[in-house]
Amino acid sequence: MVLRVVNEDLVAILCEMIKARATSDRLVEVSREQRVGAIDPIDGREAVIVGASWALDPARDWVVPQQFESLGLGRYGPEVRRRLIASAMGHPLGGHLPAPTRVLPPQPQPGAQVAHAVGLAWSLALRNEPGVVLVFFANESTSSGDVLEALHLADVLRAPVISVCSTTTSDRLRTAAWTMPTVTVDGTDPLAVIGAVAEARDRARTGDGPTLIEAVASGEDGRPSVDPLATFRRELEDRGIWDRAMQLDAERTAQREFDEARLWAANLPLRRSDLFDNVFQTPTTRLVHQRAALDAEYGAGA
Amino acid sequence: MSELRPDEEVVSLLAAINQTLHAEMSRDADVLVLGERADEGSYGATAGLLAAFGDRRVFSLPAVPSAMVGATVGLAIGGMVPVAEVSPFGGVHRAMQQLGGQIAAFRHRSGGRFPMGITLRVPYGGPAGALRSFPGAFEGQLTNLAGLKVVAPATATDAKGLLTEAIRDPDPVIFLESIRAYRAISGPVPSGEHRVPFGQARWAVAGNDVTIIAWSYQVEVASRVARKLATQGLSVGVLDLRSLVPLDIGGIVDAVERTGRVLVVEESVATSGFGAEVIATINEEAFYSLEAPPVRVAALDTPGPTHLLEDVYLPDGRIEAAVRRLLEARV
Repeated sequence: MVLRVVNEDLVAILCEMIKARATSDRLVEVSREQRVGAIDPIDGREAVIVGASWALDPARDWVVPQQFESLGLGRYGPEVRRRLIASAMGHPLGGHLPAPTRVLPPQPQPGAQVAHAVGLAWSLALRNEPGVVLVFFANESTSSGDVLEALHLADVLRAPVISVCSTTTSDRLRTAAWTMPTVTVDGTDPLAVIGAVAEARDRARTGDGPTLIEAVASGEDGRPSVDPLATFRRELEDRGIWDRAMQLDAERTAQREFDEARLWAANLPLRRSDLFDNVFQTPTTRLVHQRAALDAEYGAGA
Repeated sequence: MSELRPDEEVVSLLAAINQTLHAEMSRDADVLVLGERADEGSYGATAGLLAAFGDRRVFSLPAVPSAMVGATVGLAIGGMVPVAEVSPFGGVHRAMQQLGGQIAAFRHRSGGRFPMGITLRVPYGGPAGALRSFPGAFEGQLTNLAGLKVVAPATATDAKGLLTEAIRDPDPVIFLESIRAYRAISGPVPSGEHRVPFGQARWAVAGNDVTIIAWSYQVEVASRVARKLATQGLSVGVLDLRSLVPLDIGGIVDAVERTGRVLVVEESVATSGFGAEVIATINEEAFYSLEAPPVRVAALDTPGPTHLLEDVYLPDGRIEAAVRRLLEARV
C-alpha cells in the first residue's frame, strides 16, 4: 500500500506537532506551579509520535503509549490529549478513554506497555481482525528486562505489533538478534517515520509479523539536539505551504485548546467514592465495608 | 468415604484441573492456555490440551514470565480469555509489576472499559525437598495487590469448581495450586458443569471446641489432626476458606462464634502471611466472641530449608500442640 501524503496532510502534521509541544510545555509549567503529577515532557519526540500515528488507521489500529505520547495522538481524536491533561492534573477520569478510541490509558511503569501491545496484537491475529498495534517506548526502557522479554515474545509469536523506540545518538539500542526486522529512521523527520511505520504496517497486515523501529535523533541521553518542529516548519515554508501567519494561528489554536481542555478537566466530577468503582465487577465485602465507613465519615456522595 | 453419586468420579486434584481446562476450552473458543511447557504443564496439568485444541489455543512460550503475564493484559483487551500457568521457579516474582501494577489495576485505570478476564494458575510449594529451590507459599504477597482475586482449592471438587468460576470471572484471578496436593489429594468430582462461588468458606470438619482456619493443602493437614484429636474426645472444626480474596468474612465470624477459640494454619512464612489478615479480620469483626487470643501456626521466618530440615520448617508438625494449648488458654 502506498501512503499518499499530500500538502493538507503536511500542514495538519505540523499543526499537530505544534499542539503536542504546546501542551507538553504548558503541563510542565502547571506541574511546577501546582506541584501536581508531572508527566514526562515530549522533549523532541513530536515527529516520531505524530508521524507514526499518521501511518495508522484509527478505525482499526491500536496505539499503546507509555504516557507522554498521548500528547501527540490528535489523529485519534481530541479526547486522547484532553484525558492526558486530566491525568496530569491527578484526575482518575484521565484514564477513562471511551470506546471506540483505540488508544490504551497512560500507565506509570516505563516499558510495561510493550507486553500489553504484544498481547493485544496477538489477540487481533487470533481473531483474524485486520488491525495492527503500535507501541511506543523510549530509550530509558531499552535495557529493561520487561521490554526485552516482550520483544522476544513478539518475535516468537510473529505478532502484528510495531514497536517504535525513540533514542538519541549517544544511547542507541543494543539490539539483540531478533528475527524481526529492525529499521532505523530519522526521529526528527515525521515523513521518514510515516514511511517506516507504513511499511511495517503492511508487513504486519500481510502476516509477516512484527517490526522494531528505532527512531534516532541527534543528541545525548534522550535529549535531541535538533528541534523537529523548527526543521519541519522550514521544510513546509520552503515548499510554500506554510508561513508566519499560519504559525501564529497554529500556536494560538494550540494554547486555546489547552486552556479549554484544562478547564474541562478541572470541571470533571470527582467523588471520594469513585475510588471504589471498577476495582472488580462486583465489590468484595471488604470494599463494601470500607466504602460505607468512608461515607459515614464524609457523607455519602462526597 | 461416602457413596459416589452417579454423576461423580474420584479423581486427583491435578486431574480435576486438567478436566476443567478441557471442559472450559470446549465451552468457549476464546479460552486460551499459555505456559512454558503448555503441552504438558508443570506436573501434567495441561496434558492433552494441545492435541485436543491445537496450536492456536494452546501456546508453549519461552521462559518470559513477565512478558507472558503482561501479554495477558493485551489478550484480555482483545477479547480473549487467557489461562496462564506461571512458572513455579520464581515466575510470579519476575512478573510482579505486570501482576500488581498492571493486571490488578487495568479495569480501575480504564474506568471499566478494559476488564481483565484473566486466570493465572500458580503452582507453589514444591514437591518434598524442593523448598530450597522453589518459593514456598506466599499468598500474602498476592492478596496485598488490590484488584486481584485469590482462590485456593483444598479438594479435587473445589479445584474444578473454583477453576471453572475463575475462568468465567471477568476479573483477574490467581488460582493457587499446592504442588504437594496435586496427587496427594483425591476426591469425588461431578462430571458435568460444577461451579463454586468465590467468597464462600466451607466446613471441612465439624467441631465445637476449637476452630482451625486453613486453606489449600493445609486443610488436609489440619483435617488429619482434627480426626486424630476426635478419637481423644476433642471436637476440632476445620474451616476451609477456599477464597482469600474475596474473603468470607461472615463465615469467619460464624466460626469464631461457634467455639471462641481460633487457630489459623498456613504454609507461608508467619510474618505478613495471610494468617495475619485472617486474625486482623477476627479482631475487627468478632473480638467479643473470643474466649482466647487467636493464634497462627505457619512456616518459620527463615529462608526455605534444605530437605532434611523441612519438617521443622513447615507448620504440619506443630498444629496438634497448638490446638491443645489453645484449648487450655483463657482470655
